[in-house]
Amino acid sequence: MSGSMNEQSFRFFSFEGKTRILHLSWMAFFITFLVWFNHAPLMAAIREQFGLSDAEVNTLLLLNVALTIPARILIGMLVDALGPRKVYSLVLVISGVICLGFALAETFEQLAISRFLLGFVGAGFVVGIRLISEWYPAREVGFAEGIYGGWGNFGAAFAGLSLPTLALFFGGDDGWRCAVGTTGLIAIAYAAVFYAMVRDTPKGSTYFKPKKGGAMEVTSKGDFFLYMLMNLPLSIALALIVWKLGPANLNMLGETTTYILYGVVFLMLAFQLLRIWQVNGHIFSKPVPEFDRYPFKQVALLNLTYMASFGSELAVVSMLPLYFLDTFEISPVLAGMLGGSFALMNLFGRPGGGYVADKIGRKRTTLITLAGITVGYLLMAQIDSEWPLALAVLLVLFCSVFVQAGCGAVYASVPLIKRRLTGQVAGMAGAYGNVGGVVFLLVLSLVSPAMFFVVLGIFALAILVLVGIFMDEPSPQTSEVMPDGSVRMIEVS
Amino acid sequence: MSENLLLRLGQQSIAGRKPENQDSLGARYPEGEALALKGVCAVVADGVSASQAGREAAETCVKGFLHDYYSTPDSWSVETAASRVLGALNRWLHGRGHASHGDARGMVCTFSGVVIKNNRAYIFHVGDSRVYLLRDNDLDCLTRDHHVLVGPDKQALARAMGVELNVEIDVCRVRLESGDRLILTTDGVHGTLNRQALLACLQEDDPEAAAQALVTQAFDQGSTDNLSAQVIAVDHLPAEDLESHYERLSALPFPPPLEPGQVLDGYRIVREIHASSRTQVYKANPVDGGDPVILKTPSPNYLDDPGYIDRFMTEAWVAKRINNAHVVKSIDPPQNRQCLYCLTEFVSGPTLREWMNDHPQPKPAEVRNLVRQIASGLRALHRLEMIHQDLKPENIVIDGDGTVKIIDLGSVRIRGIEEIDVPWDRDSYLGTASYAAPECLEGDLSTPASDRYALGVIAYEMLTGQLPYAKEPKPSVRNRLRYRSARSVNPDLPKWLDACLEKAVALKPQDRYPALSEFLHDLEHPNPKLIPVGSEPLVDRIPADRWRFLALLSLLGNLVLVLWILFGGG
Repeated sequence: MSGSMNEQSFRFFSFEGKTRILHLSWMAFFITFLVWFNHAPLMAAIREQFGLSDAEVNTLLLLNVALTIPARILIGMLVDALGPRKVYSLVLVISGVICLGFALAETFEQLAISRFLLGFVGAGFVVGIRLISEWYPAREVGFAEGIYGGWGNFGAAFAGLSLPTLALFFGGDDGWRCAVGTTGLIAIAYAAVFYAMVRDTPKGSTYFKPKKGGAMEVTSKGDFFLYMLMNLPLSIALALIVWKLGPANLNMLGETTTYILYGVVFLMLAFQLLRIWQVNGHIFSKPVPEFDRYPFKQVALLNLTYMASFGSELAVVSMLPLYFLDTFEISPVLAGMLGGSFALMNLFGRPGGGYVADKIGRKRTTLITLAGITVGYLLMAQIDSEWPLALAVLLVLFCSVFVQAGCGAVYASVPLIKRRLTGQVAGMAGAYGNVGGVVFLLVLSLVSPAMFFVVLGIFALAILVLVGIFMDEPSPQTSEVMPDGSVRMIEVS
Repeated sequence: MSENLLLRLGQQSIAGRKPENQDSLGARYPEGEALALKGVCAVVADGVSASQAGREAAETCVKGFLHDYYSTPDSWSVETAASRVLGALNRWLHGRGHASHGDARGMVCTFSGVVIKNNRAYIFHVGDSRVYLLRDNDLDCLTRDHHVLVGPDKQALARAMGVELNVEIDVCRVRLESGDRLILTTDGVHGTLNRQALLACLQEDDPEAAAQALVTQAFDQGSTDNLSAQVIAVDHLPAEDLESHYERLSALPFPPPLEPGQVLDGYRIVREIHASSRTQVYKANPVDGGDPVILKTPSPNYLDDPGYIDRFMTEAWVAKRINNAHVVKSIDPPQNRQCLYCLTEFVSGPTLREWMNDHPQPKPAEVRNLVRQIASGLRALHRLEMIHQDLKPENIVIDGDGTVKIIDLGSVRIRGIEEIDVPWDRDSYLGTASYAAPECLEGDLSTPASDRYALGVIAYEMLTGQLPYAKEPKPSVRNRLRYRSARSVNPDLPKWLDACLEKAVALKPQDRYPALSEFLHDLEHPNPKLIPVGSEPLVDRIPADRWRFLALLSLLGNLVLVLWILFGGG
């Protein structure tokens, strides 16, 4: 339970059994992120070739994260039906093909549509989490998922570091097309590797039917309404995208289409609320026994924290290369590398956040990271062309460490809320991360980059206050080891 | 809280004017955990005089109930546990009665029992013994005599233990108050004493004296039957608490991850043998010497999953009830254990999977020997109406002496347990795909036939190194699956053995061997009925793929023909 990294059985450099699954999974996740963010460092070239306006650039960034929210639900159901191995391979192949479509786009509309469809690849994360929880015993699963999440997210940084150079290597106006296409081919090739080498469960493992999915269980009437409330932002984010693309704004969608899409979003919300009622309606007639109760506010706070951390990371990683390019007038390659540096610290930041949370407590870690995020973004809002470039990069690294440590701390807290619902709590937090991505990119399309950073900072500050007031420290420690080696259980009442 | 339950018990039983005392009575007043989880029991049984072995029946009921009730999983409710134990006892009496006396009235007795737990009394009753509640000097009979009129003024027992295969047991629940008394009597006492006389006898404060008074008084008034009485005085009840399954389930915390060298409840951990997302398995040595054990702990992934905890606790209960050389032995955990785990004997030696890897081409005699031992263990389970559900080479170990043992009773299903109402979703099992019978993968309830299928697959795998079907027999592919002849993999095998294996792993349960013994027999002796006369039909000799290819070829030929007729002719 305590996340002590245990050397005796965690053989990291092996490529057998569960370790093989871990390595293959984080590489798959890495590639999905490489594909998902291959546009960000190349945006300067794309903007130039298509003569895009700022609004159009922002639209592309926004579209990239739009589909992810509903795709997560679909992927979750597919994993239930087909198993992680097939679904991850499928995600990789499909996204590879769409990626090739983006590379071959001739008009802004084609760019937009393929970018919108690529939002699908962002849901790959869910698949690997499921796969690793099948393979790893409880004491190692936290660390394994930290590696998976952190190293996989690094794919975004790798895109920033490598793709502009690759584009330059291919050369010409269409260098970016070759770079993007390469990532697509990598995804397709890796899908075959993944399919050939991964198994859904350890050999000879006994299957127990997964518990019924659907809506999460809540355990009090107040929590029921809080849960309903917490479902609104998912739909609101989708509705905002429709509004942004609709006639009132970018005018990419016709009036009829817009209304149809509003209807779809509304139906999805209604369906979700109905499922919440179906799963939880009984609490109004019969209270849940003490043993099975848990405070839903903890879930809500983790969701919001993840929105402030991972959500802002999604937005910043998308915009930073272009922002550096425009602010400091540096080469696209350098801008891509510096922009990618925001995701660089994922290698250590995310697992580190989980580790620190185990050591000094979840709530304290969450508060510290949120404070760091607030300060970091407010300082980033001050960056202008007068700043030395090195200082700006240092600031980016400083801020990103807190952002990723915040992600790690959230996922270290998730299993302690209600063990039985861990999967669903993790899924909901992840969805909020995507909501953050959408909302913040929407903000970016409305205000200046400086103001955008201010908004991120203020949002993190607000969550900091909420967490400070409402969050309870989950207490995982129920046993201690005496000096003579005997294990004592601690009474928790 | 629970230690505040204070009772005094008194009991008396004499033969009276009969030559033999066919009544039996008994009580159990446990301490500590068992008192809190299971409560106090007092039972009487009256052997029916018309039956040849009334006394034996009554004694069996009392002893059996007092023993078995306390061995039921802690997670079971009193009603569930008692009803199941009584159901099993009834079946046993019924069977014994038939076997040794040749008719249904062989071993028959009445049964009345009281279980007091927390602040409630649970009454279980069948026959014409009685349970009374004395409160504020008011005597209330809580049971109904199961009588039928068989003539004017002549009554006979309508219901009793051991008469029918299934017995209907009256169950009622009473909330107790401090100062209450519960009285259990057989008809020798209440058939003679009227209400006033009963009340008079119960004025004695000491339950022992009161029971004595009841029996003596009835005898003095001319009772001709055996006389038995039990009196329970409720002196103090535990404070009001939420009677819930959950509390019992969470009574024991989960152990933390254990490191070698750590000591838990007197067991020093040697090493972790296996860890999955559901359990951790350690080898441990008792600190004060003795044989090493296997210590299995629940995974913290299921810390608050009542369905999982229920299953985990059931496993220990199952192991405790089986006593067979070919099923791993369970070890009782220490009295004051701190947390939830399961202990079994440590069996050194390879699993059957490892053995198969080491012996890719075993002699049929070796395989028979192993299969026979597995079947023996399986039979022990089936006799207790338990289905293993997860028989596979990984769950079978061969110790140094060559004795085969079935390990891991974690998926065992106890027939009838599904009907028990629990407020959580039961863990439903899907099996290990390669060894689970098709009906299980389809979601049907597993039966002994499903275990026999698994044993058949294991025998096949030992002899050939392959599985009998190319794919797992999931519902989606089931109709296309065909048995892969063992001789096609291992041509040395005789035809009759192949036929035997084919029958053992038949996809439909009704096509398989109806009993383990028949399978074992055919495994050793050629069964002429199974070997097909003459050669196989063409359909079976040619694989499905080739048919498909032929059909496609023919379609192509037809297309060419059509084209030629339409365009070529001119």
